[in-house]
Amino acid sequence: MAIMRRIVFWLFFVMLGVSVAAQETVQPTTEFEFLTEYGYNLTYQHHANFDLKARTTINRHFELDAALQLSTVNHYTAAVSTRAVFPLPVGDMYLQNRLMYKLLCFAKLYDFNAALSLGYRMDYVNVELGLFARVMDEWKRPVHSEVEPIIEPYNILYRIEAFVRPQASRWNLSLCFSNIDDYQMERMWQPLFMLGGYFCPADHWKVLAGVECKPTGMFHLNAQFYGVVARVGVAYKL
Amino acid sequence: MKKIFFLLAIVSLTACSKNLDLVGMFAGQSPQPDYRFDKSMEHNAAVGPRDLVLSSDDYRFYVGTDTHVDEKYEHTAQYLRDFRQDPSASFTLMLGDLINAQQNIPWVSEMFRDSCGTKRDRIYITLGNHDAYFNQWGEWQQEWGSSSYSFDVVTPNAKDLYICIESANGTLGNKQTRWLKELLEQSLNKGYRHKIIFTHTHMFKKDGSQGHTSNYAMEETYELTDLFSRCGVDWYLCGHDHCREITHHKGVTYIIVDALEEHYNNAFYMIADIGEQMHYTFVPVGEQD
Repeated sequence: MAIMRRIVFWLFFVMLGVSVAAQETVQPTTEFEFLTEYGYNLTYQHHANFDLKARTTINRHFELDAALQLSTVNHYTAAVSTRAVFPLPVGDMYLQNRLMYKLLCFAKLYDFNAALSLGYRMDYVNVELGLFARVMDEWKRPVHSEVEPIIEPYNILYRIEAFVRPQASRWNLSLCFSNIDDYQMERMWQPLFMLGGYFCPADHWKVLAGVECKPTGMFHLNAQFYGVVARVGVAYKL
Repeated sequence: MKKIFFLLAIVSLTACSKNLDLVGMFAGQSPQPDYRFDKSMEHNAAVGPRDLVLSSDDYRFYVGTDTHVDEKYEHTAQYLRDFRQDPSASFTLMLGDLINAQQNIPWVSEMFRDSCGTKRDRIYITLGNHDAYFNQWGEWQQEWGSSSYSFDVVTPNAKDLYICIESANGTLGNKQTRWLKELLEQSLNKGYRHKIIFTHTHMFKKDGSQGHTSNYAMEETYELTDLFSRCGVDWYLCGHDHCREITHHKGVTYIIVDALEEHYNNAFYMIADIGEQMHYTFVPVGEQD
């Protein structure tokens, strides 16, 4: 736990430092997203999720996301993500950290993930590669217990996303292959396939929709369907 | 044209290796877990209970896994010989990945039974992902019957529950999950002394040794670990990783047993001594690093 605390502290420090050092400033913008999700998987069967997300661009070099998910299967997820953006002649490079805390009330368990990744985004493509660590533990483990939390220190994070139009367009579609999304970090051998899109019917407003498919056993070389999530929602830009 | 290209791609992928089912990365070639579970239940109903009645409250069993038998199998042979010759060993659990290459299941299964001599009916086995490659479930089922079952070990003053779950696809599937929940929840009122789950896939991914092996989806990890803790499971025995790891989580001990695979320089098997207390020891096989 001491190592995790140190990692989190340094990630925060680096992000703060990059933000303060940013010379070029733009008007901060914030976008709020509200999505409802229908999900089915072999474990929970049918369930629904409600997502609330805020994306803030503080300046040209610093972005901050915060997300909250409530699920009908009695688990709750909070996530914070910061990005230090380094504009390049073509596209942006970014250093991103994610902190995700999942409270599994039905199991009296928490699952905390911390990730650091390096990404590159252009009009039509976004790629990201990084590492994340996981700590899982029961809520009320006695302080003097000899049992230790489950620590999975080395996981690879990857995300490859392609868009059919430039990312700032009025509508867009994307296809994504990754082991993470806004509310989960799967082990590296457990990929997610996502199809998403949005449309802006009016200034400030966006309609969002997407489907996410999770197979299992791909790296058992015995792949099969595990779960699917369909989501729709709206976004409002301040 | 597209169909021809697709077929050619599948054929060439399959031809790449006789050990690795690369097509299975996109669609497992054996029937899906729910189908296998149904077939296992049909078999269980046909053969009846597999309970073992032992004359002492203290007993011993052997655990071996990931034998990946190909042409040479000295590690496996030593394991089976040790089990056969140990008079206090009552039965063995085999945790999957019996074979490596195609067409090995029939002769390897026969070799296992022959090597165990009079204890040939004391082998309790589960299906590993390698056993299910290349649509080999049919062969496997013909040899071993069922990949999901439970049995009681009944001693003069106690009763222990053993549950074999099948995780060759990295999931238990719908039906097996329901069956497992029901079985474990019912077990709460049956006065079991110990409860042991055995399967192939490991639950956690704590170190670099698991770089090459995949787990359950996180949702399934949360759900199963909670179920095991709520229902008083003592041990979760598995292989898949090839490298020993012992984890205590919410009252359950999760044990990954080392592989017995040939050419593997850290091959071990596990001996479990069960009484009021439960103890395990690991026995080296072959050359060690």
